This record gives sequence, C-alpha cells and structure tokens, in this order.
Amino acid sequence: MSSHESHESHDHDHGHHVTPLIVYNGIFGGLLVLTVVTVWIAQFDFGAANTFIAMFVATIKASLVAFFFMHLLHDERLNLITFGFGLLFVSLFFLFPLLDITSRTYVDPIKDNSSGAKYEKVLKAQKDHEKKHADQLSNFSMFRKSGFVLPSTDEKEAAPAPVVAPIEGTPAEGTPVEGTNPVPVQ
Amino acid sequence: MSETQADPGYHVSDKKETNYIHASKGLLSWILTVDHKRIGIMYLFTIFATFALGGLMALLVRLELLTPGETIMGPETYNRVFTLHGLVMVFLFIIPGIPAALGNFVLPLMLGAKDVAFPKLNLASFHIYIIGTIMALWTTLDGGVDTGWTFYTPYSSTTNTPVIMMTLSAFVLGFSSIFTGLNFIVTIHKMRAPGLGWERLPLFVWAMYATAVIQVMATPVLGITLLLLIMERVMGVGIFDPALGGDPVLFQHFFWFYSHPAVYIMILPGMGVMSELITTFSRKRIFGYRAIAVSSIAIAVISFLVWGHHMFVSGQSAYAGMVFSFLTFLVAIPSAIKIINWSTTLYKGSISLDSPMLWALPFLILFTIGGLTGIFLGALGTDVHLHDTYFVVAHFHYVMMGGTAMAFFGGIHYWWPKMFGKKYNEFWARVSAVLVFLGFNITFLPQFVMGSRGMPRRYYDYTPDSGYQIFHQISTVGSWVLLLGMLIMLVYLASSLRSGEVAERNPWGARSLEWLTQSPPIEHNFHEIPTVVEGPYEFPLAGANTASEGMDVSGS
Amino acid sequence: MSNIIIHKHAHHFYDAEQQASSAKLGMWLFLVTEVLLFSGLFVAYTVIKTLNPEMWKVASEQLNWVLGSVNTLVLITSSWTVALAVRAAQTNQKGEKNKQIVGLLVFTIVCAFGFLGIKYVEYSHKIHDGLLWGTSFFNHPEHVAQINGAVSKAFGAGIFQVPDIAAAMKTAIAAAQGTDAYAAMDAAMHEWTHHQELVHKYPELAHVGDGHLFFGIYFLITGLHGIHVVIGMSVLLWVLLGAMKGKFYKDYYTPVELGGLYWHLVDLIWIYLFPLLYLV
Repeated sequence: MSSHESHESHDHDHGHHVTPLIVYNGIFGGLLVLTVVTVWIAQFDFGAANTFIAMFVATIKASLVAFFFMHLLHDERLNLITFGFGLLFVSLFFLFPLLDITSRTYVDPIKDNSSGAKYEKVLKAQKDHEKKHADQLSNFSMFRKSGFVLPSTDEKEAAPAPVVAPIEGTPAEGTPVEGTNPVPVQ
Repeated sequence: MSETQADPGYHVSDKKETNYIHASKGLLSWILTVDHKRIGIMYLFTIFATFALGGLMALLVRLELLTPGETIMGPETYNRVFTLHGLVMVFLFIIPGIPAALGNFVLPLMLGAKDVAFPKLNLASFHIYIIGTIMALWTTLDGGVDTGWTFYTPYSSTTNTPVIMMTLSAFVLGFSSIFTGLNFIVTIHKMRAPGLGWERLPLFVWAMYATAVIQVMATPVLGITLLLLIMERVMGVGIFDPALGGDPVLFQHFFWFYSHPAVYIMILPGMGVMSELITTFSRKRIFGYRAIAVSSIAIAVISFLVWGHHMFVSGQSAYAGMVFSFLTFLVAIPSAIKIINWSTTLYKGSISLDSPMLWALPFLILFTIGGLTGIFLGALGTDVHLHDTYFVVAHFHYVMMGGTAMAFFGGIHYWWPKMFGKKYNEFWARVSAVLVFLGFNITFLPQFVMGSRGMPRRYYDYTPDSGYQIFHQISTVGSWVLLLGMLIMLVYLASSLRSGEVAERNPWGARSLEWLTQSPPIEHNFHEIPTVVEGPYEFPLAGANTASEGMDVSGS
Repeated sequence: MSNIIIHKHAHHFYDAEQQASSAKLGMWLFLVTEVLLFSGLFVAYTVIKTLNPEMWKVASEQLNWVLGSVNTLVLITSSWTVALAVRAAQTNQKGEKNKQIVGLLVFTIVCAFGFLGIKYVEYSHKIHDGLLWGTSFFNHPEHVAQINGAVSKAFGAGIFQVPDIAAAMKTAIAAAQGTDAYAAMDAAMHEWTHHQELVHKYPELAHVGDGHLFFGIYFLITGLHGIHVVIGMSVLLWVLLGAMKGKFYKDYYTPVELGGLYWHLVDLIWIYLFPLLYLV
C-alpha cells in the first residue's frame, strides 16, 4: 500500500540518527563550563546590559540542550519549526506589555506643573467650546431627556478633587517611596 | 448514487454495513470510546445543552432589561446572570463548539484517516470538558460569579463570589481545548491520505489547522493568568493589586493575550464550514483557494498582535494604544479576503437554497456587519466613546452569533445526514433558519444604535427618560423570535433521529472524502484508504457523467 | 531482564514510524504550551522589575546563588543522563542495554530528588525569615500593623512610647507570670522581637519598597517549576517501570524519548530562571 507518499518527508525512515556518545559528553561538559561562566560573569556590573548578557549565555546553554539533548538538530524540521513558533509567540507576549509599561506617562495636573500647564490649556479649551455651543448642546434631545447636566463652566464651582483615604502604614500620598521608580514624566 | 461502472478506482458501495453507532452497545462503550465519531457526537449533544443554558441566561438578561428598574431580578442577581451567560457561551459553547462537535467527527473523514492521531487523548479531552463544565455549573450553587466573564482585577481578586471555582473550571476547560488543538495539528500533519497534499485539502481542514495553532499557543497563557488570579485571591500575592504595588492593567494584558486570539478560535472554524457550504451549494470550485487558505493562517498569526484594542481606555499608554490600533486594522484584511472570495464563488454558481445554505448566506451579511463595526471599535478615537457600550455587545454578537453560530448550525445541518444517517424535515429547517435570522437582527441591530447613543453594557438599569427603553424592548422581543426558531430546530432535529428519512451516502452532492463513506460511516471510516487524485471542490460540469461523487479517488 | 517485549503499533497508524513521529510532534506541541505557561510569569517578572528596579536588586541579593548554582548543575547532569538513557534505548538491540537504561533513569530521578531537596532548604529558610509574598512579607505594612496590634493588645499601646521597648516587655512578662495575660504577651513579644531581628538582618530590604513583590514572583515561578519537576519525575518513574520490564528497544523507545523531552524542558526553564532570579 503506497501509504507513505503524502506524509511529511522524513530525512530518515527507519534509522533515526543516533548521537555519538562523545557528542553527548562534550555537550554536557560545555554546559558545565557555561554554568561556571554564567556565575562568573554575574559578578561584573554592566548596568542595563546585565540581563542581556545573562540571557545571552542562558540562550547558548538552552540551544545546546535543545539541539543536541533534545535532538532538534537531527530531527525532522517540523519539530524545530513548532518550537520556534512557540518562542516567537513568547517574544510577542513580552514585547507589547513592555512597550506599554515603558511608554506610560503619569500626569498629575495638580503637582506636576510642566504637564499641568498643558492640561490646564486642554481643560480651558474644552470649557470654551462648551460655552460657545451651550445652546446646541442643551438642545440635544437625548441629553435633555436623560437629565444630563453639563458640568459647570464656572471655575469656582468645579468639584474638588476626591479625597482618597491613605492606606494605613503606607507612606502619605505624594511622598516618594524609596526604591520605587515611577516612570519619568515626559 | 448507486455503484458506477465508469469508476475505475475506489470501490464505493452503497451496501450498508454496521455503522459506528451500532458497532457496540451500552453506555460504557460510549463513555470509554476512542472513536472520534462517537466523541464528536457526545460533544455535540453536550454543546447543544450548554448553548441552551447560555441562551436561557440571555433570555433572562433581556427580560430584565425590558423595563427600567427591577423587572424580574435585583442588580446583584443580574450581575451573576450576565456573567454566567458570558462564561457559558464562551467557554462551554463557542470555543469547543465547531472544533469539538463537528471537527472531531469530520476531520479524520475529510483526511481519509481512520481516526485522529491520539484517540485516547481525544477521549480525555472530552472528559476534561465535562469535568470543567460541572465545575462551572457548581458555582451557580454557590451563588454564581459576578465579575463578568473577563474577571478584571481588582474586583475579581476581592469579590466574595466563587471566583476560584470558576477560574479553576476555566483552567480545566483550557486543557480540553489544548488537547483538541494538539490532536488536530498532528492529525493534519501526519495522517492525510495518500495524494492529499496541502493544496488539495478542503478549506475546512485549513481552518481547523489555524484554529488548532491558536488553541495550542494562546490557551496556556489563559492558564497562567487564571492561576495567577487564584494566587491573588488565595495568597494575596499582589502583582495585580495597586495597593500592594502591582498593576491591574497587567492582568488585562495577560487576559487578552489569550482572549483575543480566542475569538479567532471561535470564528475560524465557522469560516471553514462556510467554505464547505458555499462550494457545495453553488456546486462550484472555490474562488481563490490559496488566498483563503493563507488568510486562515494569517488570521491566526496576526490575532496575537492586537489584543490591546480591548484596553484602549484601561490605562495602557497611548503609544501602545496606537500600535495596537494600527495592527487591528491589519487583522481585518484576511477576513475581508474571505468574504470577497466566498461572494465571488457564488457568482455564476448553481445555487441551491437548501437549509444549510440558508445558514451560510446570512453569514456573509452578518459577519460583514460585525466585522465592519469592529473597525469602528479598532479606531482609538471612536473607541473612547464606544468602549463598554452596547455597540460593543452588538459587534461581538454579530460576529460570534451572526458568524460562528450561524456557521455552526449550518455545519450541523450539512453533516447531520452523514453523522446519523437520517434526514431532517427540510421545510421546518428553512422556517427555523429564517426565524433565527430575523430574530437575531431584531435583537441586535437596535443595540448598535443604543450603544452609540451611550447605553453602557453590563448595566442593570437605565432611566425611563433616557430614550433607551424602546431599543431594549425591540431587542427583547427579538430574543423571543430567536427562541422560537431554536425550539423549532430542536424539535425537527430530535424527530429526525427517531423517524427521519434514511440518508444516502452523499445527499448534497458534495465533493470531499467524507462523502465517500456510507451514512453513518463504519467504525473504521474507510474499508480501504483512498488515494486522492484531484484537488478540492472539483464539481463536474452539469450533464457530465457524475462518477464517484464525493471526490475522485483511485483504489490503491 | 535481557529480554525485550516487541511492540505493535496502534491500528489507526500505517506503521510504527508514523506513530513515533506523530507522538514526537505531539510532545513538542505540548512543550510549546508549557513554555507559554511559564512565559506569563517571566512577563510578570519583567514588568514588575522594570517598575521597581531598586527593590528588585536588593531583594534578589537575598537569594543564595551557591545553592542555585548547585541546583543548576544537578539539573544539567540529569538532562545528560536522561539523554544517555534515550540513546541506550535507541541502540538496545535485543535487551542487552535494559540494565543501562534503568540505571540511567534511576540516576536522573535521584538528581531530581536532589534538586527538590535543595529547594526545600531554600524555601524553609525564606519562610522562617518572612521573605514571603504579599502581606506575609516580614516588613509589609499590614504585617507590621498586625504585629504591633498584637503587642498593643497584650501590653497596652503605651509600650511603644518607652525608650527600651524590649526591656519593658520583659519586665511586663515577668510580672504577668502565671496570669491569663502571659500567653498573649509572650507570643506578641516573640513575634515582635523576631520582626526586629529580621529588620536588623535585612536593613535595605526592609525599607526599599514593595519587597514582597519579588518574593511573590520568586515563589510563584520556582513553585510552578517545582511542580513540573514532580510531574517530570512521575513521568520518568513510569518510563522506568516500563524499562524494567524490557519494553524499550531500538524499534520502540518513544516513551523514553518523550519522557526525556519533558525532562529537558524542565531543565531549559531552570537555565533561564537561575540567572534571572539569582544573578541579575
């Protein structure tokens, strides 16, 4: 029965590649050495590059395990592609939250003057716009029926910022906590 | 179609042998079966039941919203009811849905295989699904969860409802999904019949493959997310809790990394079914086979890049929002390609409006509406206004129900004769399809309007003078029409099992390998594995000698 | 034990070759799911570390890198021996290598036990020193408030105003000997002094911010890894039982291979965990 034609082409039908003992032993030795390297190199401080260097060495070790101990080098390519795709999706999973975290801007309109001024300008523009179109807005039937009231355009009547009770034991709001590093305001 | 003398190859006989349903008797022979067909049938019945449960929750929600103020339940109960609706529909109905109920049955047959690659794993998948379902239903005894199906922290890490049991059940259900996906990927790679190369595969197989890839890649992240949520509640770890220095938006990143690809787990199988239905019921080769096949894979990959569009107003950075918005527009393209290609397939086809087609044609319109409204939501600016309104609710119901559910029911009707060897009542099937179509639009079209006018989702109430009531009322009446259509379907399908007309091997004149087997198939599917010699959907011209309908194959 | 049991392939496969390669692909897919499961914790690590770099540095210095290195070497060795076991099965013609396979698998499992033993030592030290997650962290405000509350309750709030609190406590306890209040005072004093010792022992960590976040991640990720070590051990044990019966030889060694692949994954995850937690 010609049943093999449509299958994924195997590089080796019935003689799976047997890794020589010396290769296994060599890889083991290499892994031991690299572990020593990992620990040794960690004593130097390269600043932000620390993590990358550690990851680089770890990746070499992981590649040795994957390609030789796990036979990916000599297996059918599909297994390698499968694992590769997994790693690709892992990197996506890392990429976007990091992108988010490192590009967040925290604006405190009360305390942060430089951005506060910008915020004030936006607020003012918004209020001017509403004042200008007040009749049109209040005529909009949906708003009227729902009882929605436009916020007061008079500064004095603006609602005060809500007071948040500080959590007992935590430092008072606004005091910088030693060691934590808020994302710098842009 | 009787035996043909002109067919030199595969020996298709209409002599009925013992089929898989009667191959062995007794409850245990079903519960411990490793036959993919039996497993598919068990899934099918369970999924019908979970759909009914989720539907019941929906009817209750819509009933409550019929009038402002309390109609039939208080606000606490309402939160639990809509949460259960979401959880049941997402995890118990639509994610397993087509892959488990239809895919399990059809896929090996379509590939010319005797079973999936790992039949015992398949059985384990089913039992894990049952366990997860029981766990989920258990929470209702405990009062039910009220967080919404999305479990956002910090509410979900602090509320007093049985969140842990529900998240554990979702964790368990995730395994079922992963194992099914894993099984399908290996089956499609390794167990195709001779001659069935990748470019000869029916597009249903391509769709199942893409779905399986997402199932395997995305579901584990849901697993860790739920585990972390449980740890938050049990151990108070704090990585999602701002009071402890954590970040609640991190939970959302984790959750949507799975849940956005998950919605493509939901729609891709439906698109696969669509390809089968459109070709069979216009008796025409698909237009743009490769484009549809590649677009399935493209959807699977790009779906992992867009999850932040659920989080535009959550506090993620504006820059990240812009990136996600741009990528979201990209993911619409492969879906659009499919719609265009299906529509073009219809052109100059010999269209018959048999009941399965009456589910496929509305898909074209409804999925398009759902998809286009997704674009509104994908644009940062408009999303700020539309986020968490009924516009979103209408959008996802158009794609998930107008899309996937329609395709699911179409597929059920299409493969019903193959699965059970019985035909259902065609007249009532058409009535049901029309009623469901009408009911669906009456229910959800008004929701676009009221959403864009500001009615928030998940809200228990609205004021009498807000102007929303008329929309809610129309929507609720629509849900009753939907109910009627579904009930009719239940009746004629059940009745067909008992006293339906016997179905022949290939009642629709379709053109893929499963239609070569008898209806219902024997336990081992094929007497001899066929060798495929032609591409998919090669419908013979009208008047030609319609030899070996089902697919052109040669004996070995 | 020098016999082998000839294996017949499952009926839905054409031949043993198809079955073996399908099984392997299936296992690789499963390994991908495990990688994605852990990736969530790695992402959480990255995010929390990025938001709290000072705290992270101080907290991670509390981990014992010597023990961590030993564990790394143990796992790497076990990876080597399980690869050798697979090779032995691959070259097992008629059962002459059965004993070798068994021996290598046993050694691998023993290494796994060693790993868990060292982890136990690490964990118990941390638990004793209150280097824990969330509000269990020794210097978490809520935890401190709880200790101080117990002290206030037992000794009266005025105890915090005196210059030498410890001495005052000792005096009060001596006076309360034999009364009902003694037990509560004693317990409260022990907790309080233990806390003071810890603050003294970890001065930087006590004041650097949300140190509990580091230990939360530490316990979650090493805990999940530990669970997978146990799972891997169980799988290898099951394979060992089969090897003892002579089931694995050159034409059928799939379970050994798949068990080995799972074990290598456990090693792979640790190869990344070790520097990330202990060294940077």
